Amino acid sequence: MKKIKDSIKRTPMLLSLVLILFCFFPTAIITPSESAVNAIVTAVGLDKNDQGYEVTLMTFLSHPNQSYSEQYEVFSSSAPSISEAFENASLQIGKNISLFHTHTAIVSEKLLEDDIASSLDYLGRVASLPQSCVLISTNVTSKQFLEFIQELDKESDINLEDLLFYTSNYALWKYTTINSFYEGYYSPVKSSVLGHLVITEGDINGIPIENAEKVVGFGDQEGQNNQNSGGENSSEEQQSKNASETQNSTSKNEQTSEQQPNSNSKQIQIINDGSSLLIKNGKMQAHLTKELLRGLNWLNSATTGEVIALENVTDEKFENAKLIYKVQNQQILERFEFENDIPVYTANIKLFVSLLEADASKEDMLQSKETAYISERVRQFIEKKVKNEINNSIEFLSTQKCDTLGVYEKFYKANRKQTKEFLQTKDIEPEEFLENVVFKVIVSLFPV
Amino acid sequence: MKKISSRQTAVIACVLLFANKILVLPSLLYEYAKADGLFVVFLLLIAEILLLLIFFRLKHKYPNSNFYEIIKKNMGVFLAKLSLFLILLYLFYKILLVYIVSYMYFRVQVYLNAGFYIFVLVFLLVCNSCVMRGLRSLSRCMEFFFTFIIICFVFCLLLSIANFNQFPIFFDTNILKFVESGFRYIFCFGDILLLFLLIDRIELDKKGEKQILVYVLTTMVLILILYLMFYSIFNYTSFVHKNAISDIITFSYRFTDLGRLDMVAIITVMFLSLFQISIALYVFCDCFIKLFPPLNKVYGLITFDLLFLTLIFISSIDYLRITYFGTLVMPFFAIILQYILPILCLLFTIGGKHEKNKG
Repeated sequence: MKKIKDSIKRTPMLLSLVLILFCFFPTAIITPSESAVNAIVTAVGLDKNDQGYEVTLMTFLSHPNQSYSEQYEVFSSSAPSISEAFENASLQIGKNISLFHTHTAIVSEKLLEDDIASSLDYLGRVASLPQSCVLISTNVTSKQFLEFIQELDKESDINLEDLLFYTSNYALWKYTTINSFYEGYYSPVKSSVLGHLVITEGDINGIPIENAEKVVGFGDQEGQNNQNSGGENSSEEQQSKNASETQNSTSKNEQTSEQQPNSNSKQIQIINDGSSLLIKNGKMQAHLTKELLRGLNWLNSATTGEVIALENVTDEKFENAKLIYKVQNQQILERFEFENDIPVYTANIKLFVSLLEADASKEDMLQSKETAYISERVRQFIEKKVKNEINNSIEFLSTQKCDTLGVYEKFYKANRKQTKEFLQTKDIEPEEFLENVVFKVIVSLFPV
Repeated sequence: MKKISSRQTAVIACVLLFANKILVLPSLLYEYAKADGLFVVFLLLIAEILLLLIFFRLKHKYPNSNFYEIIKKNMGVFLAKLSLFLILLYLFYKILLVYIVSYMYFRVQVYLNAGFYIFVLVFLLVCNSCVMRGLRSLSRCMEFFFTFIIICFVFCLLLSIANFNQFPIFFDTNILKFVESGFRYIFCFGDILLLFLLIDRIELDKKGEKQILVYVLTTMVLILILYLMFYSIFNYTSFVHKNAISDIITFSYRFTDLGRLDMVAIITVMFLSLFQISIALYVFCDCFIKLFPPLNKVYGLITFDLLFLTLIFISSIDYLRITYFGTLVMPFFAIILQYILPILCLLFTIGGKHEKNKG
């Protein structure tokens, strides 16, 4: 006994270790596996319905299988608040909702008719949701969207995460996460941008799926209205179903799909062209089309790979040719100054371009094979095109009073006193500052 | 009595400097001072450097006496005992704060279902063991892990560069808000005070002083970079992010494929919290022994554990309550103990004869 006492006195850490193991060992043995108690949610969709909110969860359920394929199920649940909807979903699935692996949150356009900051509050507070969770909007209901993604994943192995990762790196000009939404929301200009993925029917450049009938609201006549109405129809169907059941309305998509009319001939497609939604005060303000987006991308050195198509180019080497140039790199030098008490934004844009494709006659093609070809005519064409695109985009942002470029903030940082005085003199709010700014854009081209 | 080396002292000073500053504080400061929280931290860290210089002077004048003896010699027994008693309460709060903030952090980052009881048990057992082993073992252990901690911390800062957004707007708050934010959260600073309480256990020469200063200044720069990155990345949403060191690296979804990069931050916080609590608990026990001379450090530990467990379980104290209490009461405590007491110590060093160094 004395020996034990002595050894404890000499090495108290050893005793601590034994005690800690003694505490953890039994609990580790009796605790069931994580996958048995947790439903791993990879994407969350938020919609509004008569009950309040409808939460749709794309959930990974671990089943033993020999194909190494991941199986996802889509569940939805309605309740007056989002946290209650999550609780209901948890009850229905019989597992805890684990948001540790949630990489995407989807909101429908219908939800964006009101301020979504309060709707996102739960997701902002819940500690387990990764901060890197991407926030996107869709033209249909979030439920329809996730059901589509589930089918897409089964058919083509293209998943939402890959799609968004590529878009954020190569097409979008801003982060589109929950945090970036809040950053815009709390900023003086109260504006932010959300990535927008459209699901629609028809022959458009998108990724189609054949099993359209499985997706609620599509594959029938009503489903053709993809702007909000598709979502409403779906919600109504869901609500009528809910009415006969309890407040908890968790449902698997297979069950719902049985109630839908089949229409195998139609293809439903997801369109990912990098277009976005302008959000102001938490509400949808306007669509930012891919053309407008291009204009903004010229002012962002982070975006590369833009393609410039020039029609009917006639110069020293080509005649009526169609030339496609790719921007390999771009550098922007910005200046924010007041000239005669008027804010002037000067952007000096250097584009490093290479000729990617030439649609010209045989003789012209033989003459010019190099990628670093830029004639004076081409230079004028590109400069004019870029300037036009920038002007259109800025004009659009000004009319919408959405300074998502952060021009006000940049002026405030560079010339705080003058910016404050300018706001006071004009008696305007920071969000109206953009429309009073004079833009000077200088475009220089360098062949690479 | 065997003393700790100047490098070990430098390591302890750095670990103490990190205390309560790398998780919640950036977010709390933003609520009052916006991005100028960076300058609040800068000024209060400068104050810590001044504390360190006072400590060097005091050590130079009294190379053999402990803190209690120094105060007793200059101010009498009553004030010396009172000072120690106040420090005891102050340390108890500091330990509680580090513990609660760390628990909140680990619960969010590591395991949401982690039981409070298990966490308490593990933390107390390890910290009690560290105290039982003594200051030299504890400082050796800290010295061993210190390089690793700093590498992890720098790694987090480097990763955060990928998430850099834009510099925040500085000097946008009025002076009143600036001072108020500093006053409210002053209790998160001043941990160098603990070195005063270990004054007789430290071996110090001129070279050692330089070494400590270099270590502390480097840590200070690292902390300031963390604040700069935090405000640059989160800007207007800084008030939402309560785990600064982790949040700056997990913000971007570009890293999600690389797995849990925040493990680096988790390991850093784990070691720092453990060492901060252990060293503060050691000093707590030391003060306890001096206040109640017949008792040894085992009684000090038992008293602390009982008080700690009672407060934790009966009052179900949480992060919000403890910070609210902190902003309400602790600034006054902090000003007396962190600043007035060291200034008095500085006055003690003026005039009189220097003690002979027996060590």
